Amino acid sequence: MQSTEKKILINRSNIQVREQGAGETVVLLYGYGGVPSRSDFADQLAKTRRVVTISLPGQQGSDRGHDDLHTPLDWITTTLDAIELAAGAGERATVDLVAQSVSGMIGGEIAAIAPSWLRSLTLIGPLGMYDEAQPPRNLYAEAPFNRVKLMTTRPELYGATYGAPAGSDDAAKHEHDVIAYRADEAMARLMWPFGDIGLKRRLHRIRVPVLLLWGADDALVPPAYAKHFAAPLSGPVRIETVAQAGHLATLDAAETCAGLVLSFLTAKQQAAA
Amino acid sequence: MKNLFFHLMPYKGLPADFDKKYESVWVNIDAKLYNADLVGRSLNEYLDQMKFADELGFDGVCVNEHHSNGYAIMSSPQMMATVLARETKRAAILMMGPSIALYDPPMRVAEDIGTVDSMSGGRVIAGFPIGTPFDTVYAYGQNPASVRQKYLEAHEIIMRAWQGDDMFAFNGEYYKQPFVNPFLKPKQRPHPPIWVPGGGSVETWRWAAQKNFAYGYTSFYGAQNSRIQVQGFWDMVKEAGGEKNPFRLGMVQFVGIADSRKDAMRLYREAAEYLYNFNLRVSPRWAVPPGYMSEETKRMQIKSTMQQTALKAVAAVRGGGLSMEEIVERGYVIIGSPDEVAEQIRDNCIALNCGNMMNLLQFGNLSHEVGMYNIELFGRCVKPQLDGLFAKEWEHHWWPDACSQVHKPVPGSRPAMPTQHSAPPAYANA
Repeated sequence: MQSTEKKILINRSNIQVREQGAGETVVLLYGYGGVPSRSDFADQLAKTRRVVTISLPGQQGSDRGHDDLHTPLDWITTTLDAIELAAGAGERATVDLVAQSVSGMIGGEIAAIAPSWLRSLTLIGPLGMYDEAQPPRNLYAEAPFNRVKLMTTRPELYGATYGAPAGSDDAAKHEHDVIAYRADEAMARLMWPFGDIGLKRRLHRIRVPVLLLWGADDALVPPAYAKHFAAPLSGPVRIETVAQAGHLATLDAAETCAGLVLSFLTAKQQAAA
Repeated sequence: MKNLFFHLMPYKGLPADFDKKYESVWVNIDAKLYNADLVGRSLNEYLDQMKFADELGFDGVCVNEHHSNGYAIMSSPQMMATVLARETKRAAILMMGPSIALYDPPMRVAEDIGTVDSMSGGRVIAGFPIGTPFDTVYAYGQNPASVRQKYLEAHEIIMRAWQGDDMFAFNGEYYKQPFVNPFLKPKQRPHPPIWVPGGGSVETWRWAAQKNFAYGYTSFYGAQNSRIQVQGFWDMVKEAGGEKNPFRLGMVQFVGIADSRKDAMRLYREAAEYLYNFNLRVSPRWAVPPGYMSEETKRMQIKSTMQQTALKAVAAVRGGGLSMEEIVERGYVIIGSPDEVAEQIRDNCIALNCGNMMNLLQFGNLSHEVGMYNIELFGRCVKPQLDGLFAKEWEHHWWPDACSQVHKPVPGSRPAMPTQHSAPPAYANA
């Protein structure tokens, strides 16, 4: 599907924004692995929505802005700035936020701190909570050659979506590896070591409808975490588990995930009407 | 040139099936393998060895810092350096630690090093390692993507404290200390010589070069695999307008000496194989957290075939099964008679332009008796052959004034070769 890309400047650092489709605005944030070069999940949503994919600082297409983000609050305010500039959110709720993996911890914080900005929140395999009986697995404490297998049930698809474009020469492949490393660095800087920055103390502030979506085979954040997120929420919450999908559920089961998100957004709209 | 005795203080209690049953000697080493009696005995023996090295005229003794680690049980270099400040009389005390980003506030490190320098009469060389990812990121939980920034802030606080007499406030991103009082400071003014240890990152080369510090390359994989790293440092020195003074570079090297090469092969075989197959058995899980290595270094690693070769050599060691013959052939351990060892060290130092050799003479599960023998042979028979190297052409600007004299060993004769090779197997889980 056709998309356009632009850069926005936040704190002297460029952030990449990819836009596709038309309709009500859905903002997409990615986590482990960074932002893929193309996404069937985003394409599906864009059939009926305006989809705005924001590359967080350090992720693919954005500058090394993460070097200047020293605290979780820095990440939260930078992401808020990006949503405001890229999607037009502000005083009134105009955005459905879909945050996955590591960015889920930021998505939860935004919904808690700036509830008037969002119409809804979808968290897909989010980090942000810590259960000592079943701790989240730190991707970066695994051997590099095992990391893809831990993120996805379909490694071949990961290569096609996150890897260097087919036909790239060695120089382009090398640069692609460096960019992927930078995206990992940014995510490590945000989540190290557990992704737990105290969100549990703020989840009760979230009053917008929430969809908690999990890959049934998520090897990094077990699906059991859905109940930890759901329990303190003050608004309506729906939990969905996607079969044969791992941590990157939107990669492993793009159509199913998109269908569930659209169904949630539509139901929420109808309820609001 | 300067010859130092570098001690890792290895753990000798790994079981005979360690390479088959255990994933890693570092970070997640099985805590049930720990034997407190063995550690107590070993640490006392190791300190005796360092005292002995001082008596034998070694130019320096080195301490360092590791955590959750079976090849190095020295968690606090400050503690060992404090003992050495009393137990040694002449040698420089090279503190390749603490890893300053691990301590909050970093003034703790400034005060500790200052204390050791005062106690020793100004014999300290301050090494400021960023620390390995195994220690800093995994064992001690630091964020890999910010540990270098934290290190630079910590370094700034320490240097300001050492170089001034006035209190100041420090408002950094990672450290905020309203009243930094440099009351307790080193004897050496404005500060002890500084060596920055590193494992080959571009930023460390550049930083050490720009700051006019010495660089200590701490690879366990021999001179051949060190060439690209060393050249990288020298390139940065040139870029910074510095001289290619060999005393700006230090390297580590395992060494085993005996009456002959054949004897050395026999005497050090078990310990060297224990070292490379057990002590250095490290899980790849702990090697490359994102951000610990800079983007610039990552680029260099991807593009450099020599670098790839060196990385493969390290990976091969992780695979285990190295024989003494392979270890020696690759230059990981230099062995031979005193004359042969002196020649190899000289050749390596000339080839790499290295004026400080940090010799690892007690390694693996080598028995104390053989370790003492190795140290004594080095001090009496090898070091005197190397003392003059680079000394006429270059001045050592990174060395404590209190240790500038070259010392002869205490009187004695060449030691007889011991018969016992390694630590008794009963050490394991005794």
